[in-house]
Amino acid sequence: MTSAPIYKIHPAIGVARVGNSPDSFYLSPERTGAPPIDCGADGLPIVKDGVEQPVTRYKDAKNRIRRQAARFRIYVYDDASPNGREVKIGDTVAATQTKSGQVFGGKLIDIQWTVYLANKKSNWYEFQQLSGEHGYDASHPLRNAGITDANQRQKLIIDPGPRTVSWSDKTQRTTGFTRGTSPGTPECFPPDDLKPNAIDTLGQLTSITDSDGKNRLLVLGGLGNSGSSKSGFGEPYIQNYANNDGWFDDISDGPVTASLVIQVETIDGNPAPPKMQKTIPVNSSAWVITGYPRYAPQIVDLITMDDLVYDVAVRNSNFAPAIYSKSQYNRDYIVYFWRDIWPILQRPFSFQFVADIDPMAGGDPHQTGRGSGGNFDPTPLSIPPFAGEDPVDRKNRSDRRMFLYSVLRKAGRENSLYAERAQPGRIFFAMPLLCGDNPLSNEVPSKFLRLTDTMLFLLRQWADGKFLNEEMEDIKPAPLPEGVALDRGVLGNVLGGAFCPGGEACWIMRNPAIYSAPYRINTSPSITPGSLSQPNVVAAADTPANISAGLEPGDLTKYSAVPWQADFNECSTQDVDVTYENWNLIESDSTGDVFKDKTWLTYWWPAHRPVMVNGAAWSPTPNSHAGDLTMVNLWWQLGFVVPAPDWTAETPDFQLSENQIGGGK
Amino acid sequence: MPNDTSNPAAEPQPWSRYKQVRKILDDASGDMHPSYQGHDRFWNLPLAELLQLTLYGVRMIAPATSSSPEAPPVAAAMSATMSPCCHAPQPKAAPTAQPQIELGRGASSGLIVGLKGLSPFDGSQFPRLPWGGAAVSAEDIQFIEKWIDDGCPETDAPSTGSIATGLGDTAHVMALAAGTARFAASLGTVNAYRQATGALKVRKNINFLTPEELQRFRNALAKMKSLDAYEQDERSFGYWARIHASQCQHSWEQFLTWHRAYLYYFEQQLQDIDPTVTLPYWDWAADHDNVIISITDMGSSVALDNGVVPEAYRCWIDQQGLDALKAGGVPQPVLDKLATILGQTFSSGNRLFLAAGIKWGDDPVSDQAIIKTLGTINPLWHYQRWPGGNSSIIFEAYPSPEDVTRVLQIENFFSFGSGPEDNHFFGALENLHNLIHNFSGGLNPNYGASTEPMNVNNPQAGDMVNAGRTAFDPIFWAHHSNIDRLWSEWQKLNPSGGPDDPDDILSPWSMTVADTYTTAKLGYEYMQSSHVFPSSSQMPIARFVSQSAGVHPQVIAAHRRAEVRLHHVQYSTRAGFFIRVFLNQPDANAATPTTGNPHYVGIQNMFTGLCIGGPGHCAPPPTTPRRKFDLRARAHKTPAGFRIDCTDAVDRLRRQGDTDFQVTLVILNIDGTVATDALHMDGVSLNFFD
Repeated sequence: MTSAPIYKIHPAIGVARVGNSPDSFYLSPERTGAPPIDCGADGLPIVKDGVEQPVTRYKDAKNRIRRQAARFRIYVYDDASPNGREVKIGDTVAATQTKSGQVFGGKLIDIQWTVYLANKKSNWYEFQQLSGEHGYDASHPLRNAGITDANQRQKLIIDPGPRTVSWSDKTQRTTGFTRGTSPGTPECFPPDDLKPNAIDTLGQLTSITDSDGKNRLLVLGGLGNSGSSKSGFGEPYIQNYANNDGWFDDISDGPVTASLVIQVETIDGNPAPPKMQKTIPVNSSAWVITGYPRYAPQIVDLITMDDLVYDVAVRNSNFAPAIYSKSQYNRDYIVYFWRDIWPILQRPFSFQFVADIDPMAGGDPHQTGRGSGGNFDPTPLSIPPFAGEDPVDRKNRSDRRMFLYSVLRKAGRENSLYAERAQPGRIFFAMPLLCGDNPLSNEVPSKFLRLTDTMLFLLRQWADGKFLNEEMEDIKPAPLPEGVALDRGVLGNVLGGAFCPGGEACWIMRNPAIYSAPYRINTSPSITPGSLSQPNVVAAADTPANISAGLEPGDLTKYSAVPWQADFNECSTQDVDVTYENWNLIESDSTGDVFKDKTWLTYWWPAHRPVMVNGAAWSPTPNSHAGDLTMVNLWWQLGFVVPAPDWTAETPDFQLSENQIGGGK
Repeated sequence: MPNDTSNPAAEPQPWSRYKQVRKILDDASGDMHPSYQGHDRFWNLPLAELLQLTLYGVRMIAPATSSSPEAPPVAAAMSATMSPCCHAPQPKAAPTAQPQIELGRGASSGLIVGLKGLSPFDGSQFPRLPWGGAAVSAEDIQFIEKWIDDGCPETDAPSTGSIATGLGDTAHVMALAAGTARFAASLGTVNAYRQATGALKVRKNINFLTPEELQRFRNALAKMKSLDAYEQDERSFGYWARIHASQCQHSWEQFLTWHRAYLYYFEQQLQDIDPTVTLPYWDWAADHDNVIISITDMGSSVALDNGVVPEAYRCWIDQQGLDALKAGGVPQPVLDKLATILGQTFSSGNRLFLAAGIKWGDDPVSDQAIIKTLGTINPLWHYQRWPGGNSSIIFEAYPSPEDVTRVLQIENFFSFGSGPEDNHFFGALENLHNLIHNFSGGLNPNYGASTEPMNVNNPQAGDMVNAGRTAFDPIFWAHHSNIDRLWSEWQKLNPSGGPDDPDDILSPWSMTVADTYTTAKLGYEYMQSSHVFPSSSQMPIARFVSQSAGVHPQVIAAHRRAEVRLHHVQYSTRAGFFIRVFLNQPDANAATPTTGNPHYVGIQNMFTGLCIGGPGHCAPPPTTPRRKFDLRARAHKTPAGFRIDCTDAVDRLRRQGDTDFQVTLVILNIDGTVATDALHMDGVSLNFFD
């Protein structure tokens, strides 16, 4: 019995990025660590010899940062393509109408894309590190707490209403989430006199069709405008790295849905009446998040959002039963070195280009170069135990692996600077040596970053010798289905930790309740423009926030800092108080214990927020509220860290480019 | 694997299922050598290791399962006998009626799971086996699974039907390959084997044709003769005889070349009728002593028809012939007389009549009937043949083997093979040739006062005497076959010698003189006798042991050269190997000494090697004939033959009393161990040359 085809939008979560260029943009990268894809003003990618070309210039001719557009496509999963293939306008399709169960077959004559972007930051609770991840208590303060009336608070949400584009009608191919252009639905923008920058748009939608007939959706985000509605002496000013009343920014997120417009030929296999058209929504919709620019686009974060969402999917949705099933990891699972392990181990190497890890030891404290003989040299690390091996070599290699694994920070050890028992008689810093979700307050301290459970599991299998080297075994791992590859490749360039509040999205992403399927955000079926949900404490709110009801526009980015530039500026380094494990703030002046404050200057996430590039500070702004305010207008002048001419995959090298700070090019 | 070469019974079978399993997996792996956790191609490990092997935690061959049911758990047994601790004893639970699908040993082996691409070899953990290689077919997987189910036997026969050799059942085939059974000599005609294997055909010594070969030759000639009424029909015997009359070349250098072409075209006619028929030769020099004896016995008073010809050309009457004569109306007295000589052979019809007591000419109708019947019984016999002549002339002129040897020692064609156009004369060989014509034809003792020398029924001389009529006598062809053979022998001794004008056309054909230089190009070679032991190239042979060939004692006594041939030895994609040849030592093996061993003939060396091309690159070319316009050179891996001179060995063994011969081959690796997978060939033959 053949089943009806299923239509899904991929990537499940797409990422757009702000930029102050109004018309020049490029397309989101679709592979982890890959550069974004260059395109013309029409949105069609630049293609040479069938290969989409990478971006070489991130700023336009006037040195304004180009925006990044998220690109969405529709895949059909049927008997002919169980791993999915992209649909084209003109294809013969057969879509199931959910409410009637009927299968409508015919020619696909158009695709209608509908996106609904919103920004709920100013309406939401204050960000206070990890407080709220498992529920906000009644005393948790709101942002803009002074505004108490529910209807008034509703206007703290930037809500342009949904927009739809399609292809067949030329006039319907592009539209903006712009003030005054709502097609009849309630719209709400902040006051038009925000200072220093007004916000008039959250982005733009464009339907494009390439020469093959494949129709895709491009979603562009805001222009990076942040401003405050407050006036009076000293306004606007920043008072907190994450919560600033009166401030708005043009970050956003929201659902992406599509409907197939079918010239119906058959209904449940029987001939249909003539001239019948049906518009059937696809089975799986997607989500788009707008983030700030990715200034080091080809330096991969130590933990990516793909790592995080993968971990959630593996442990909660049976996404990889060979690895994890029946609530436990499979201790017999054989990892593949080059596919599973090396992509993680090679990440620290490139951090030397965006941070000054160890001024004493030089740029590459991890010595990841091949043949360097250092701790991370893949040559000995990649050889699994094999028959006929010299026992001395086997012990040496096993020791190397176990050493690397032992210095990794394990679950429950987030507040410890040091690794436990890495080597007798020696003390090692636990890795990653990066800030965790909460090195700031005493409520739920989590000073340092640790890898996800799944990453730790894979590395443990490898350390135990339960791995194979696919090059030695002539195994070519099967490529991921295209759709899954898009889902994972897009998120591979998004920050996956630490969340304080993080990069594009916050700790909400590790809550399994927001997903309806691996990588798929559970969209609320009843989104009402003008009545988007508000925190539960707001009395008489139209729609109290409720994750289990599904997510609404703005629900992923509302946890992030407002304006984003404040947190972005401060998330360079942090003096983490490591005096006591359970405390971040200590009243060192109180009487009683005599102790000495110990701190450790720790980086946040240099791949997302470069700190030192080529020996100089990447951004001149100080790590202070004043610096945050400067960043509100400086962000687009900062340079991009791009591959140097001698870059190779095995010996990466990076340089600063398109830097306008200090009059640079 | 170490081979115990001292005990032939312990030598590994070349074609066991175990070896087939390994070959299947090797072939599917192609050129890939994944590490397999350091074991490389783990199926080639010693079998004991393979049975215990785990690959990344997956056991490749499941352990042997016991058929007895599981022992009941200890706790239940105890509770049945001891008093309960905390509660009353539970009644023994009835076995749940869950249908258990029990996998056999093979199906639960990691190797089979991996070949089938089932979990964990379904991509979720590992790709299907063999890694990097091609998928193994479902039948081959089933074969391997069954082998595991059967307990992974190390040495046993492959499943029936897997080797189609035509040599018997698989147990026998395996015994042949190991040398524990013997290859039988072919009972068919030598040329049938040659035809089947695309080799040159043999013109044998007429005395050593097998009964089947002789019968086929007779049948073919009879068929040609049956068309003699149609003078223009080129399929008729008479048509060809007349060509000699009008076109033959004698007394100059085209003598040998023209007759070679003549015989060739005539032979092609015969092969149109029966492709296994060739023109046997009459080694008249070897008959020298018989001729002398025959003439001497008949006494000096007999001046004609006193010589002998080979048995195959003689006449005799048999019961069937008598019955035919009776049905044809021949008078009873004649029949009675004929009955007295039933089965006796005579070198001429005249002597048969004399022996029977029938007077030639008394009853011409009866005479003709008898002659016709004799011709039907033996189409090789010819009435107009009275071999013999004056004894002193014959004694002087009839060539002896020494005469032939002397002629062959002439080193220039000028003197050997007759002179060129502008300086022509009879050469030495032609001189001998002339004698045989006169001898074998002889004069008609019954000619009497006849005045019709050309009267076919009663000519003055035998047809062999008259150049215009000679080819009507079938013995002409045997005679000239011998002449042709002697020329080809001379050619071997004098490769550059030949006529002065190679470009001359040999009329009435379009062949030039040079076209006749190589008998191989004309499709034949000469042998006294040949014994073939067919094999099959499908099965690799570790030791080849033939049965005795059944060599004619006369061949053993009177051959000049002996040769073992290996036919169509295929290129084997493996390291090179050696073939040791022994005669009459059927238990020869790798340890058999060669020095001082009278049975040892010699060693042949085979240059091969692993294939570096794609699948099929080093396979032997297909046996189907080439396409019409495929003008490419010889296919790269065309199987080749070996010729091993064994004259000395035959001689040694004959002197020590051996009366027959068998051939044994031992195939060896470079390291001296027996090579069980190296030699693929079509067969072995033992050949003798005059």
